[in-house]
Amino acid sequence: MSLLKVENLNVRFDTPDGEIHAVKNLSFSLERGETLGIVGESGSGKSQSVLSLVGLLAANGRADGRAELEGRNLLQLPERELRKIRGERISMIFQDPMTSLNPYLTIADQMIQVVREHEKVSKQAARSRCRDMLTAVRIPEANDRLDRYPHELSGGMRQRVMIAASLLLNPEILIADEPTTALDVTVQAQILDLMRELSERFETSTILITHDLGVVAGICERLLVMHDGELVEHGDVRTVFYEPQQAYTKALLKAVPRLDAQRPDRLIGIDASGAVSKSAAAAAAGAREMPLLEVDGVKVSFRIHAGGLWGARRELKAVDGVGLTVAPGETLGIVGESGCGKSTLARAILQLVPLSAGSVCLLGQSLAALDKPALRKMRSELQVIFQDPLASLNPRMTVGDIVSEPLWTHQPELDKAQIRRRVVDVLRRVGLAGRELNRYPHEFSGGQCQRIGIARALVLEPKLIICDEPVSALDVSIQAQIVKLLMDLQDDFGLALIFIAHDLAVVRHISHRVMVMYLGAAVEIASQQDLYDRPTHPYTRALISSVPIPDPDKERRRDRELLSGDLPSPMDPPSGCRFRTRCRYARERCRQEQPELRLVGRSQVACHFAEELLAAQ
Amino acid sequence: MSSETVAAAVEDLPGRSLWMDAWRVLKRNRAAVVSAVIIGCMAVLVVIGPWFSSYRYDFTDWSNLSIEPSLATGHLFGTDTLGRDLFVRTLYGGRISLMVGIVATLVSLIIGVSYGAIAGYLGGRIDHLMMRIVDILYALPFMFLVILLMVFFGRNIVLIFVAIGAINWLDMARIVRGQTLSLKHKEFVEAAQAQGVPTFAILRRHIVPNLLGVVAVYVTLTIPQVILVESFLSFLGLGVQEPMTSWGALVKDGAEELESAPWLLIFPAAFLAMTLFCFNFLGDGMRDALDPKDR
Repeated sequence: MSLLKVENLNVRFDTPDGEIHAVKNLSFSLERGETLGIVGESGSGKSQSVLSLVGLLAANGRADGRAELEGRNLLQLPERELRKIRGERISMIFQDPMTSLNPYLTIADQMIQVVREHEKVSKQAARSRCRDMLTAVRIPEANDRLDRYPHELSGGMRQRVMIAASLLLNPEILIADEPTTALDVTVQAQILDLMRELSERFETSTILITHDLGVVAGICERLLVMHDGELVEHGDVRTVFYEPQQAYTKALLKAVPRLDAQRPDRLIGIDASGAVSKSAAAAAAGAREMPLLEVDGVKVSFRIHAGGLWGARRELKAVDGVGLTVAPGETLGIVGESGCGKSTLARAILQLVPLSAGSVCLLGQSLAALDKPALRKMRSELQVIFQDPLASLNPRMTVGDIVSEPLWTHQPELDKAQIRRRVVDVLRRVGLAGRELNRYPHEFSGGQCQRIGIARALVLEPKLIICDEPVSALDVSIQAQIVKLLMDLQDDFGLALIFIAHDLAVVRHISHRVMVMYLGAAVEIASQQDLYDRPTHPYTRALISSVPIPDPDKERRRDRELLSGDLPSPMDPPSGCRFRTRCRYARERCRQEQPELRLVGRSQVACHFAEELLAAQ
Repeated sequence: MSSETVAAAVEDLPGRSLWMDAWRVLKRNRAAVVSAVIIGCMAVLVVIGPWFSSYRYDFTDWSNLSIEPSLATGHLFGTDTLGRDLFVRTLYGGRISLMVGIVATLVSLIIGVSYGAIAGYLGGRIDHLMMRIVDILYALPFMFLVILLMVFFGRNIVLIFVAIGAINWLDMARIVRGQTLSLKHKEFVEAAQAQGVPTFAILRRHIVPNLLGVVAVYVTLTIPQVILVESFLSFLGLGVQEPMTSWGALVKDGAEELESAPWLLIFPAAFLAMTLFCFNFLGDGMRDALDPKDR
């Protein structure tokens, strides 16, 4: 018999704009010990359907239907009973571990409270149970960590604490709502690994809610696909992945950029027709000519106040000596975990933060040497697209004004009608109707806002656009559209792109060359093909093997090179090779000497043992 | 549709600006409109009202000391213990109170917003210097400043405006600077910087419009506060002087006669409360109207 049986679940929200039917007639069951995945894009009702089971809907939400846990309908239980069930029988892990932990209490206080709320045990006994649980989720020095505050732990560590806390009462069902979305890939891989192991060890049934098909491919047995509040498809994970029945599932699977794709569509410059596309031709031609952008030995450091009026200042080296070149019409991908300095590098190239050393040359001219008017003029060749589509548009300006602003600044000679024509043209070029001029950004969806941001960057017809995580805040299907748009624009305008992302699969899809950064320095620069097929630096390898592949068979058979531990603090990076603290090949030499970027095979690699590693492959 | 036809069709769209939209939304907000109308009427009344009364504000009607409001005597709001007509005095008081409230607030608005936005946006040393100046001015005791001004320039109502304005912009500057600090790292500001938009244009187009919500709320808090500060100064003998008066001074006087002549408190207090109330509603409406997200 099923552990949990949900029938005809409906969730509705009363809003000032009328009723929203968030979940429509959802039925599913959860067996003992199994891991069930629920996937869908934002707004598909995947979270609400599960939150309603434990009575955690927002105040304006109502749920009806049946949700049976051992013969009792959860939807009709009084709040008191429900609270007992939450925690003892069903427990939850949320996306952002920082907001789920109380910043004013130590880990021990929060975990012991959970135990003592539900069971009569002494403080000592509770504490030792918490310690054992922390050890079980592989937190080193568990006893010491218990007395820390949440902010003293890293993001991955906090999520482990959350998992430990949720397993303390040995629940039958664990609900994980996007448990790894806020984490870096290497940490995500560790957490997923842990969840897989724990669900076997404690025989917990897990409901995993996520938007990431790669994540479910690895650890789920069965899968529900939701769209617009409705169940689109459900079944065994292999059936859903390999023989999807519904059009939506097929489209979703197709939209996911894949790391393992042998030759992603039109990626290396060869179209379906076999003709070499313009951008690749331009890139090839550009490589022979003068590079468009030359960045050499760039360092950016921030002085961090240690507190107090006369407190000591410490230096944080966000970018520590990075060099790169971009040819006209080429796409350079930059990948790395959060905190590796990739966004700071982008801001340094854009001259938004001061460089402490090094130079940035655009079109052969050093930007630092230019005076203010000349730099302003040069900026029209260099534009930027940001991560958060809504935050990058001024909420109090109309779309027309937002896209016109670069023209006001750089081409003041244009009259109103000419500006309007240019703006309408560029809006249409990025796939909008051109009639949006008088509307405000918040009236648009995330994908449309990103298109407006692209239009603003494009209106001056620059030579280089820096895209700082342009698709990470978007749903998978929208992501694919935006990436395609960027590639089309590159073909049409001969644009060069610097594409910064933490998602390696997207970067593979769009880039000609890729640079991998770790703690403020480049560890490997190679052509897209070389980097993904023959990664040389141990960090690159670990990064690539951490990315989940949306293919159940492949994902389960994969030979992983998982990284242990967390990113060291950039305030005091390790001596010698920065990566040595997490590197499985680290030796004495790595501690003493900092490896320089050098040519190994066809890639540039910063590792003392690159040749050996390459040969061993 | 070709791009020409779209461009042509777009030509017909009416232009839209933040202020035009704000005005449109504000017009739909009934409470704000009613408040604006009441404030407008009040302003007209205090300016032209005294002309229609047969009494002067400092005339003592010896036959009618401290009488109740009545139509027969022509004292609509009654008279005070010195036999002066309360109706005329309330309107005169309104002139002073409204003027202090609006002028001092405008001063603090203009200086405070530009000072705070510049300090916050430029940051670094300039910010440090500008904010230390604010700190020093904060440290000056307000009363001391007022007394000093009185000693140097003699007793004058304009000095009250100067003194209140000089103190009030400090709060505004601090609030605006704090908001600017968080705004300047928003991505749309960085995008404007990356485009090479000049600093002044960034302040005008991106920073200040996004401060308006906070500023509108703060202004509606400032006007009542300023009116009350003025009455406090008058109480100490540093503000308006008898026989001239203000709402604050009238309320104070009325409170002393509460048991024997309640109308002395009721009428000026009602005017004062009504005005403050309307400014609050208007400010609330302004904040909503200036935020495109609430439309």
